[in-house]
Amino acid sequence: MMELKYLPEPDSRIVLWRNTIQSFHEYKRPKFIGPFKAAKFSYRVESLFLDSTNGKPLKPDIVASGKSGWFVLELTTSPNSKKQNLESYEAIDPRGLSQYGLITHPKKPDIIMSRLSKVDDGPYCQIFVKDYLKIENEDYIKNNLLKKSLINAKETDLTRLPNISITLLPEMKPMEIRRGLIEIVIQLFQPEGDGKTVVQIVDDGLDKLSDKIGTAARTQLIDKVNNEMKILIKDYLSEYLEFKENKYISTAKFKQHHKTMQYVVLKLGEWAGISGQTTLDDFPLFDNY
Amino acid sequence: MREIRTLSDLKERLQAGFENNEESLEQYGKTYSKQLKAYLIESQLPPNEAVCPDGKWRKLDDSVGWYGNKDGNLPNTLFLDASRNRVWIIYSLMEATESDVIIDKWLGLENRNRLDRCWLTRNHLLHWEKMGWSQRGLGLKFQDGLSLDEENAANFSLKAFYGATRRIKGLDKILNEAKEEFAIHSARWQKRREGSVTISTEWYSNGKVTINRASDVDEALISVAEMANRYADSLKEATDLRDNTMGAFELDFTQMIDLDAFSSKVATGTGEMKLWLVESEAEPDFRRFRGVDLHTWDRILLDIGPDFAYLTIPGKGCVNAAPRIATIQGEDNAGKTSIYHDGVEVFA
Repeated sequence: MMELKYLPEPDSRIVLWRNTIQSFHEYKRPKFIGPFKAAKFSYRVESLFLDSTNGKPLKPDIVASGKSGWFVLELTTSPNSKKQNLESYEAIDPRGLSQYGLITHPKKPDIIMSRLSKVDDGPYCQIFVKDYLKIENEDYIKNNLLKKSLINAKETDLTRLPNISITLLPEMKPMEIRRGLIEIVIQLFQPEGDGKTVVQIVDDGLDKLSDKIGTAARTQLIDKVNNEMKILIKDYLSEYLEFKENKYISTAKFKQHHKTMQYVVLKLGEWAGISGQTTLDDFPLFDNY
Repeated sequence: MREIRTLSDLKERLQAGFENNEESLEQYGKTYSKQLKAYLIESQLPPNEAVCPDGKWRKLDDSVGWYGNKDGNLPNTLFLDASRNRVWIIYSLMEATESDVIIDKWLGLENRNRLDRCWLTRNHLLHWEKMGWSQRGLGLKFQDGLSLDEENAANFSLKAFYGATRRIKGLDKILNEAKEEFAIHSARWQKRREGSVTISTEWYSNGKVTINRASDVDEALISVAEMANRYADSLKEATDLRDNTMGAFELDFTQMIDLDAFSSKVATGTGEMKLWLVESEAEPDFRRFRGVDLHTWDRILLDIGPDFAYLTIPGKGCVNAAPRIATIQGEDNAGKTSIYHDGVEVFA
């Protein structure tokens, strides 16, 4: 497993999403063909479906479809069983697939749970994507191509897969949120930039999920991001960042000078719990930059 | 010089320049008229919002989307073809030294974030071979930009002009080996018809082309437009990939990157790459970075190994970052660089 050398706690949710999503993709170096890519599935994230028995809305994390069939993929780091959620997906009306440009199949989906560690989720296939791909209960998969592809991918190294564009997720812990904000904060230093409201920051971090999460989760995330940003300004970058007219924005004191930029990187690293950033050999004059 | 007010005027002027050069080439063995230069520009602006690099833009009367510059220090020397939404062409009648400086300044200051160069990959630069043109020169570049010690930097550059390489023993082999290891900075191409040169051009990785010789103005302009169209198609394809999938762009290199030196460089936003990044995870042979591309201030996530990098562009960040980072990093420290998405070469 790749050691997260700098992190006191791993970015569990991001690792879960990253390694699951990348299982639909392919890379040449190091050679990696995700099992869902190998079985030729296309996917959509957080799409809305209806329960074919009662019309209630259902929103699995990922649905995927290909010529051979379709499946639902749920992702969680929760220590609780998701058996009930998974059962509910059996009733998804498959005709909804066409709405998302996916091939429709007049049958129930295969259902897969993606996790980082073992929890009993009932009679469903589970994949574990923490470092090396592990699979359990694959016999519950009805689609032979999908099942074979998953079995072939067992023990595949997932530690060097690319990051995904989603950097914030609901239920993230404070340090995970800080790390998910780093590049958004750096963008605030753009000369003559307009700054960002907390809502813009959250939308940036949620990326492709920004219009797909519920109001309650969104509000909670906005509060958490506000908290972490205020700590950043108060305790780490008080000279260079401020909250003004409802926006986070860089101060006039920030100049695009390499020492100042290195200082900002160092402070962001400290704030986000990433120790071991390149140290500043000397920094006596940074106030002048 | 007569003022150029229409596209026809411009073509007449260009044709006269080409013919003068052909005559002087025949008589004296060299050209005297300024050679036509063109710059491919990646644009996210409507033409009426684009500041002119010198003076003001004035629409050419008989055209759709063509403009000429007026009222500046060097009027009647720059012409903008903005007939494509994403890729513009600026033609320049100035000397190369003046022209390069003006375009650099314009891209750097006047239109920051919404205009960029088109960064031509090796497949773009070698595209003309597929069109039956003959390669007549090659420029390779490796700056060793991650070296901390200038004295021992392993920089290398090569500019070779040649005729029919098959007639010089061993030359093809040398050139092929060199171009498989290093980034191509420029490529010179000739189109011939019935034994005569009809166009001779030199394309650069930063989207510039010099028309060294041409016999027909329309043929010359259409060859530049061909590259612009090709690049516009590549941008569209890459934008669709960014919007519709969550896979990363993969850059594969031939030279091994010193990851510690890379990390130090990007922490300060210095160097040719102009990336300002925080290292968020580290292994001896793999690092994860997040930050901004200072060319545009778009956010990027970059995961990098000794001979590859994964580039993720969140939100609506401009996909021109992929060929830009590939080109600049290739010439700076990574050698021959290819861009892939899901195992398929893009910007090809």
